[in-house]
Amino acid sequence: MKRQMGMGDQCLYRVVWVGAFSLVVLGIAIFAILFWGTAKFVLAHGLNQSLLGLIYEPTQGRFGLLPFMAGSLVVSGIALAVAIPLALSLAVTVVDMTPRRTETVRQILSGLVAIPSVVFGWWGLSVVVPAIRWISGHSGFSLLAAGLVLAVMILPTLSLLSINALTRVRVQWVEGSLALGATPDQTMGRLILAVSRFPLLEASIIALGRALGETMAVQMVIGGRVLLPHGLVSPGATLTTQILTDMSLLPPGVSGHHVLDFMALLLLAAMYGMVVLLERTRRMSP
Amino acid sequence: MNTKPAPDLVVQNLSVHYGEQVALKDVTLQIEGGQILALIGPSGCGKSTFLRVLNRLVDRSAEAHCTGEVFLGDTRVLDPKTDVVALRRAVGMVFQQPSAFPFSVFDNVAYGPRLQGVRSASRLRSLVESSLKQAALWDEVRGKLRRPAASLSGGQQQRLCIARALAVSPEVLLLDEPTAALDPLSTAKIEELILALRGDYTFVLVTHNLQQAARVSDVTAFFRQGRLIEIAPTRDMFTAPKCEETEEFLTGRYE
Amino acid sequence: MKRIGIIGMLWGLLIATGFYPARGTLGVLRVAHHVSIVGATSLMPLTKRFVPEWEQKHPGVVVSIAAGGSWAGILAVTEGHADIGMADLIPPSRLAVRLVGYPAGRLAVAFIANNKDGVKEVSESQLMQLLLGRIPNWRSIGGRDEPVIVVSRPLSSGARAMIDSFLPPPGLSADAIIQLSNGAVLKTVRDTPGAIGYVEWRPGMGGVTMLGIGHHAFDTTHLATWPYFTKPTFYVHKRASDLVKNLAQALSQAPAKTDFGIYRGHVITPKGLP
Repeated sequence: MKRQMGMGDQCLYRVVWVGAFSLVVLGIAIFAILFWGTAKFVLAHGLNQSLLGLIYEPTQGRFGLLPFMAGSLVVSGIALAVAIPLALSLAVTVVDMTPRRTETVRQILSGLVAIPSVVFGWWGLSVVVPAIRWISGHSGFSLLAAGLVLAVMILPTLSLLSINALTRVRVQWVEGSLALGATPDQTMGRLILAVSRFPLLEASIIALGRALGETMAVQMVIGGRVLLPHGLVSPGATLTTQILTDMSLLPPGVSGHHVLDFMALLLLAAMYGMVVLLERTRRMSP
Repeated sequence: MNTKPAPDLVVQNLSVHYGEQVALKDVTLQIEGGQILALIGPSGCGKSTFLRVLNRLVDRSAEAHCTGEVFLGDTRVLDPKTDVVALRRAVGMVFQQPSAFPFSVFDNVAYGPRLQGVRSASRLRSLVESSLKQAALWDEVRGKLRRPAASLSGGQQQRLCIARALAVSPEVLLLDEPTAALDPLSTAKIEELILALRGDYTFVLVTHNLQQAARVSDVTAFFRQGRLIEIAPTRDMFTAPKCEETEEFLTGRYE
Repeated sequence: MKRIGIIGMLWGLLIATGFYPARGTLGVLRVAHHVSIVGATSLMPLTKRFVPEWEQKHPGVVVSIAAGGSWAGILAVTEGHADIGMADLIPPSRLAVRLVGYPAGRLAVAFIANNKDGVKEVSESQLMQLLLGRIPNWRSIGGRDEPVIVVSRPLSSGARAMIDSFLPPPGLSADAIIQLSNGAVLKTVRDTPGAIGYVEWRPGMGGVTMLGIGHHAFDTTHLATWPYFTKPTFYVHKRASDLVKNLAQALSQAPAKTDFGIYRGHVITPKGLP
C-alpha cells in the first residue's frame, strides 16, 4: 500500500517536472527561432533598411521598422499615462472602504479583466474613433484612439494590482502614521504610496506588457498607416498590428518573411528589458 | 525636551461599543500628569480599546461608538470638534509589533516632523539626533542613520518607534504591550527608557507582563470584560488588592 | 523504463506540435482523409456554407478551413502546407505552373465613398488621383469641403493587388488607413466623412455611396459589364488527389456563390488585368 502511494506521488512529481521543464524549453525555443530568423533577415537585408529605416514597403524590399517602434511606444505610453492616474485614484479610494466593499470592487474588476480584447476594439471603433474624429477633424483612426482603447483595456488589471499593492501595506504602519498625527492624505502619500512604489511599478510594467502585446483591439482603431506618425491623431501602426497585417503577405518562404521574426524579437527584447530594469530597481530599494 | 507639562488624564463614564458588542463599559478613572498608568487584565478585556480611544484611533473602526468624557489636560478627546490630527500629535503611540516604517532609520524618526512641515535639513538632523538620544538608541545607530530600519534588532526597532513618537514632542505616550515581542534584555532596556522619561510625559502602558507593571508604573488599573475592576497605586495593588477578582488575576488563577 | 516512456511521449507531442510545419491543423492528429483550405477572406463565407454539404456526401473526409489572405492561400498550396488555396489574385507565373485553378467567376470591386462626400461619380483618372492621394479635398471634384481619407486593405489582399495593378507608381496613397477585412473597410467608409475605399461587393452592402466610374454606373443588377473585378479562384497543386480536385471544382461551381456576390462576367477587357 505504502509503496503504491510512493509510486503515485513519484509519477505525479515527474509529470509536473516534465511540464515545468517543457515550459522552459519552449521559452528558449521561441527565443531561438525568433533570433535565428532575425539573424537571417539582418544578414540578407542589413540594418539600414530595417531597424533604422523609415520606409516600409515589404514588396519593394524595404523594411523600415522605426514607424512601428514609434507606434508601439507612443500607443503604450498614452495607455499608461491615462490608465495609471485613474487606477491609482481608484485604488486610493478603495483602500479606505470597508473590506466588504473592497471585495465587491475587486469582483467587478475581475469581471472586467475577463472581457476579451476584441470587445474593447469594438467599443473603440464605435465610440473612441468617432469622438476623436469629431474633436480633431481627422479620420479618428489614430495612435490616440489606440492608446485610449488600451488604457481602458488595461485599467481593470492595473486597478486590481494597485489595490492589491496598497491593501498589502501593513496595518501597523498605517496606524503608526496616523498616530503620529498624519492626516489620511499624508498617510496615503508619504506612507502607503511610498511603501508600495515597487509593487505599483511592477503593476505598471505588467500593464505595459499587456498594452505592448495587444494586437486585435489596437488594429481595429489605429488605422494601419505604415508611415512615421506625425501626431497623436495621425493613423499609425504598432509592431504587433503590423505582424498581424503582414503575416499573410509574408508567409514562410517569401523574401522578407523573417522581418516578422525581427518585429517579434523587438517586442520580446523590450519586455525583457523592462523586467531587467524592474529587478534592478528592486535590488536598489531598501 | 518637552516644554509643556504633561497633562492629567481624566476619564468619566467611558463606554465603547462595536456594533452590538460592548468593548468598554462605564470606565471612570483619573491620573495626574507625568504618571505612568499600567493597564492589566486578561486578553479581550478592553485595555487596547481604552488606549485607542485616547488618540481616537478607535475611529478607524466604522462600527465603533464611544460615550462618556475623556479629558487630556484641557482637550475633550471625544468631542467631534476636537482636531484629531492635533490630538494625535500630542499623543504618541507605540505598538505591540515593532511598526518601524520600511524606510531608513533617519526617515522613520523624521516622518513626524516632516508631516508638520519641517523642511530644514539641519533642523531635522538635530531633531532626529535628540529623539534618538532620548530613546537611548543614538549610540547604537549613529553612523547608520541611512540604513533601513528593518536592519535593526526587534528591541532597537521598538526604541526607534519610541524615538519616532518623541520626535513630534508629544505630551502623552501610549504603549501597547511594547515588549510583548522582545527578549528579556531588550525588555529591560525599554523599561529603563520608560523610567527615564517618567515625569516628562503622561504614560499609559498596556501590558501582559505583571512584573513589568509592578516595576514601571505609578498607578495600575485592572480591567475585566470591559469594566474597570480596580485602580490603585501600583504598590498597593500588588501588595493588597481590594477586589477578590484582582487578587485572583494577580495570583494567576485565571488568564 | 516507464519514466522514459512518459517523458518521451510528452516530448514527442511537444516537438510534433511545436516544430512540425502545420499541415492544415495539428500535424500529428491527421485523419486518414483530411483536406485543408486556406486563403482569401472573400471566399470564406461561400466555402464555409458549402463544405458541410460536401462532407456529408463524402463520409470519412474532414475539411478544415482557415483564413489568411489570398497570398497565404497560394503559397500554402505551392509549398504543400494546404490542399486548396482560395485566392482572388493571379499567382505569379513561377508559382502558377505548379497549380491548377478552378475559377468561380468574378467578384465586383466597388468603389465606395462616404455619403457625406457629396460625390456620386468620378472619372477614371479622378478615381486614380483619389486613390493615389493626390486629391486632398472632395471640394476640388465638386463634392463637399471634406479632406479625402483613403481606406484600403493590406498588401496581402487580392482586391488590393487588383487596385495596385492599375495604379501607376508609387501606388496607393501611403497615407491610407488599412483595414484587414472587406467588412471593416465598409464600416470605416460608412462612418468616416471624407472616406473613399473599395470592397469586393456582395449583396447586402449598403450605407455608402457606390461610386460610378466614368460612364459605368455601379448597378448590382448589371454587374456583368462592370470593369473592376477580381477573379476568385480555388487553386490546388497539380499533383493533388482526385478527392481534393473534386472538392475544389465543386466549390467553384457551388450554386450558393451568387449569394456571395460571385457572378459570371461578359468577356470584356478588364481594367488592370492582363
